[in-house]
Amino acid sequence: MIDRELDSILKCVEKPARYIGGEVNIVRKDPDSVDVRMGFAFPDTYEIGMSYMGMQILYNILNKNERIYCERLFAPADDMETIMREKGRKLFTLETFTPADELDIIGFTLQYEMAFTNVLNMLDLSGLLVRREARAKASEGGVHMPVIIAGGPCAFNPEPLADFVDVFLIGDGEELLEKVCEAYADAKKAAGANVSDVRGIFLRAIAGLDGVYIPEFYEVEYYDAGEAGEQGTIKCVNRTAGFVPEKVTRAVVKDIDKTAFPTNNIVPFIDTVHDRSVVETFRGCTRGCRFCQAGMIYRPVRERRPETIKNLAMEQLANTGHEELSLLSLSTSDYSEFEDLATELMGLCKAQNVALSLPSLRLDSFSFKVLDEIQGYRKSGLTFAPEAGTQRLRDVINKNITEDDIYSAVRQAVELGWEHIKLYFMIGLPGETLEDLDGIAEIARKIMDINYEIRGRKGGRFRVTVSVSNFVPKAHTPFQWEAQDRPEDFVDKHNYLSSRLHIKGVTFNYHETVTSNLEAVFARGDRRTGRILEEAWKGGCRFDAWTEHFRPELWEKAFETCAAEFGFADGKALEAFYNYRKRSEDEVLPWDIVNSFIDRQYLLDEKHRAEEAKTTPDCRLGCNLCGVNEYTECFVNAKAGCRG
Amino acid sequence: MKYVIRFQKTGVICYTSHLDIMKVFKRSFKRAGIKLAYSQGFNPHPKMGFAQPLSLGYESLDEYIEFETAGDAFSADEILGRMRALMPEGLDLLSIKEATHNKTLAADTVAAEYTIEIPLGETEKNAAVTMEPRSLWQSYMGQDEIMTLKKQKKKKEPVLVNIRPKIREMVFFTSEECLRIDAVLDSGSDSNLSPELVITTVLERFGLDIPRSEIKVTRNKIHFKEHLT
Ligand code: SF4
Repeated sequence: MIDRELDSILKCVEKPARYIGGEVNIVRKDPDSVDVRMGFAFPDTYEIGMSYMGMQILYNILNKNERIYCERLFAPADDMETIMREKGRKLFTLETFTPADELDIIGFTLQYEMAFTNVLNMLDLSGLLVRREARAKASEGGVHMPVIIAGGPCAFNPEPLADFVDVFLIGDGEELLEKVCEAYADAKKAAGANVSDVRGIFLRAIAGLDGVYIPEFYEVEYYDAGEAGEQGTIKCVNRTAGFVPEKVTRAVVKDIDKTAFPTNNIVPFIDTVHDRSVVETFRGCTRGCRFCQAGMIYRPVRERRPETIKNLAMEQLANTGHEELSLLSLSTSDYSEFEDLATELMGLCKAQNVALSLPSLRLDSFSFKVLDEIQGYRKSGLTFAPEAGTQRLRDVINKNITEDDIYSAVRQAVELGWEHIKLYFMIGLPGETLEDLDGIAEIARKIMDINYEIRGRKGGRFRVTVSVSNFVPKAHTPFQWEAQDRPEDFVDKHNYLSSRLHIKGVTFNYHETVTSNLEAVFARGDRRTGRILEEAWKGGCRFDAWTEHFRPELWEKAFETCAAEFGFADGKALEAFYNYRKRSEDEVLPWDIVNSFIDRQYLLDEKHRAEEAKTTPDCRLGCNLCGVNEYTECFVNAKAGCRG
Repeated sequence: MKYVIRFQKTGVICYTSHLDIMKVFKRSFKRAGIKLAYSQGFNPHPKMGFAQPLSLGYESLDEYIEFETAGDAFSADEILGRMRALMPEGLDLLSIKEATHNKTLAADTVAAEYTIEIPLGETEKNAAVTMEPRSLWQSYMGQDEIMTLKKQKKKKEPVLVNIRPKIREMVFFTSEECLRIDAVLDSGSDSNLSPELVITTVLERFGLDIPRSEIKVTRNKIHFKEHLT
């Protein structure tokens, strides 16, 4: 039951079902019967958060544990936020409508940097102080304060949020998060009536766990003007407690086949981005694209056995009634037994009237057969991601796809009746020249030509979509030292491409420029960038990933304010320091605090090979000594030495 | 086999749309292992439908879903039992009946009974208390015409309509906190009146300034022409 106020609030907002919970397969527990209450927070709307599998995975694991009750929190849309603030209504969980500040733990998942302002906003809406230090003080004074934790890929550079978050969990969360919740329950017990001790006991208890980073025990020093290092870069990081590690080793689940995966997923009432059954087939990727953070931080490849996958899929479908099944991994076709698995799943899905969706297939003859069968006459677009327009630049980024691959696949596709080809490229890659941009247009044109050749002079309804995103250098990749293009460079390149892509049948899309530049600041930002975030949020920024909510002028102001604080000439200079500067190879990087298992030397070697446009082969065919296997076994349940 | 399930929709789940609930039923049939018959054609869909869509935010004590199963693997009671176990909180399945009619329930619906609860603030209390339910009725129902603006499906401009002929019955109840109206309104494809228009005109008539978000609407009963009455 909800109270009258909430009831009348729900009558005033758009899509009220975002805020009511109660969905099929939701977990209900008596909050008084558990030892620790956690709110799993997704810093974006319900529709986006509910499409994210990681939340379902952890919700399932935590709630299987009798001591823990895990509930869900999402960012309210602005109409809801306005009313909540008017009425003084705090952010509440969807399971029991409990105000978030009454929970023991609030855990944010950080999937993309542009959601960071939403993290601050959700803390504020919970009635909590956004700064970690202020909350710690209040809790020492005996005021109940939930511990704020955060994980997900963006936690691999935790620093921009280090002043707001108490504990970061870095790496695979399946085992770690449960341990952390239990440690909190134990700390509560140990502290007894002295509630102000809980936080301290808890932090000490988890400090030694792999994957745990507690920023308050580290102090960062920066170079001043006139010192040996470049002004503003990190001089050193000092530990302020002996019980925390010098570097935080990421948490890893060794065998994902033995790791719990949900089979009774929550089924939303309202339409979400994805509302379907999903099974993760494997984690990690061996291709080694040099721009790709996921390809580095999720190593090594660990597979689920085909039997497990089939069982999970069937159970999930039975428990949800979903009409669609999809597979989750970084590249579907790289699964060792992919052809067998796909064939079996196709049969099982067909028998149950379920659509099978296989994202990011490598386009070989088998995939065409599969796609033809699962899509039939309703063929969606066929996707290629060459990422760069020339072979030279593809060698630089180590994207192992040749134009011949593309053209022969397109030829087959056109012959099989496909009418839409989608191409994905990145611009602003290190070492990019005009020739590489010309190459993009060239590929689009050649694909049109192939169609004319096969379908005749009119070409039918065939079309090509070219989508271009802006390169954002990411932490823990061989390109982590590179400069990003300036906004004006991106704009020039977009304009150039626009003129080049004036080809009949070709559509050209590109991403918002300023957003990519901002994303880059926080992808590689140090602890001080948290101030920029705080200023922007105070100014009113939130939902920055949404074009309609993005407020570049407020961000500009935040940069101006912080530039003065950090000793930079102006906001532009500050942005330049974070984005448009090539870092020297011996600079201390903010995310060096995290041991991602990838050897620094390996990243440097890869960077140097990129500079010489030399490729590095897929490590399924032979180990490239990236360093991961010093910590954990590669290819658990997978076949190495061959491709799928 | 054709069946009709009667159910209630109460509590927070009233903030889901009738399409959302349709999806819940569709998936529940699947989970329950009950195979539905499908329509023929290019884009086949399961044969099921509600008697009347229910507006977002309304509770209902009397909803109907009809559906056709492929084959008769389960008895009516088994179907009800299996479905009950899968329903989210707030969707309570009351009974099941084998259907004999050819017309759809939607086509057979003629009217619906609603309860509209308008909470009264300090100022309104006095105003309303001065009037007996009978005189409230006189004042509202006694009008020859009750004109109000109604949004049109296709056109942008709302048009002025007279809703009086579509109100079949109406009873007013007053208490300290609340003005309650029980109304039977035309409902269905021939003639339809949304309780929203009744609310607007009642508020107008009695000079009540109550935000819509404070007002609760419950559907108590659906009237059919031929079946299930
Ligand atoms: S250690 Fe070798 S096999 Fe394992 S991920 Fe690194 S390069 Fe690949």
